[in-house]
Amino acid sequence: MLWDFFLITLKVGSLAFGGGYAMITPLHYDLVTRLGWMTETEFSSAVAVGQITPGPLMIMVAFMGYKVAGLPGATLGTIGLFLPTTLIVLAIASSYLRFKDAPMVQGAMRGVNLAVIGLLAAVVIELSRGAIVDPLDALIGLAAFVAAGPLKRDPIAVLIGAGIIGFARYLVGF
Amino acid sequence: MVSLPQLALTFLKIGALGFGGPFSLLAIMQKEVVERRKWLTADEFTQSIGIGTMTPGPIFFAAAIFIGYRLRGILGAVVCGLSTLLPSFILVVVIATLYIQVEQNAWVMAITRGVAAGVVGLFLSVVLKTGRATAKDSRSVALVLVAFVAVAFFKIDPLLLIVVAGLAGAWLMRPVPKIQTVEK
Repeated sequence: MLWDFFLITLKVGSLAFGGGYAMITPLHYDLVTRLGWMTETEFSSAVAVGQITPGPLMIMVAFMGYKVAGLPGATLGTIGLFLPTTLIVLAIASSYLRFKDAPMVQGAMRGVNLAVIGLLAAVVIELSRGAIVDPLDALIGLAAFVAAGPLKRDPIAVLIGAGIIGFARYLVGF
Repeated sequence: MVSLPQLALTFLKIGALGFGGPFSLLAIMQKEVVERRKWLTADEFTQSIGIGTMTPGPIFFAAAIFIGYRLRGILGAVVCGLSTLLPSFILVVVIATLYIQVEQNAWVMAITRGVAAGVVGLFLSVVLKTGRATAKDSRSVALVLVAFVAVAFFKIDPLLLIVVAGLAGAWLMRPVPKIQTVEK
């Protein structure tokens, strides 16, 4: 079971394009639907653990591994999920750095960079659709923008501030 | 040159204090690596996100590996990857061992809602800062807008967008050596 779990995480780690969120559905399919190693409740508490802890969301795989096969499962599952990304990035990075001065590679990177900025701008729209529901949410977003941008505050401090306001509005019942 | 302990400490900090999801992690990384320590230019940071989009797995994690490799080779990549994962790995194992029930109670949801609203503004500031450094002339700004509209409104797959932009750029945006400059 430990070995099979490792292979599943390796598979998901190599095939899930589209960021961390793209990994959740394949993991759910294998661990809950196909093999029944985890219940729906256990799976959603794994996702909740990933959301509530700092760092990458996908560290939820450690929680899944622990449920399946204890500490070895947590360790191997984490290695399995993150190893493919590491190897692929290393392969791209080493050939990129070797050829980065070639005109065509420079042109390609220029194109990629501009596309990435456009993509990230679209991410802001996507994030705001889920996060900005009422005027106070919008105000928190605006305050975070001013604090992180013009006022150059530390992002971590900005997030803590936003969390405190969110909690305060709950206490006040607004 | 950046030392490995410096690299480890910086990414341990991001891994331990980076709340609020993948885009908040990218914002924190931008602050630490580009603005505070000046290890990378804005352009190089954007590149690492491009690599993260092209590869499977979490974008933030892939970008961290790329940055580590760029600064200190394979060892740097390994240090960045492990430091990013270690704090939350330990936390998750502790939660699992002690059978701590984690669920979405009202308190957690209230805090998460505030943080999520904050991430929107935080990330917007990162996009504007990085964008200003990357797209300097009007043609670049126009291409950024095309990419934005393609993803935001026409729901083009980001991976496809990056690949097309790379191929188009390789031909259309490659620096052409100046043969002759005519002066008046």
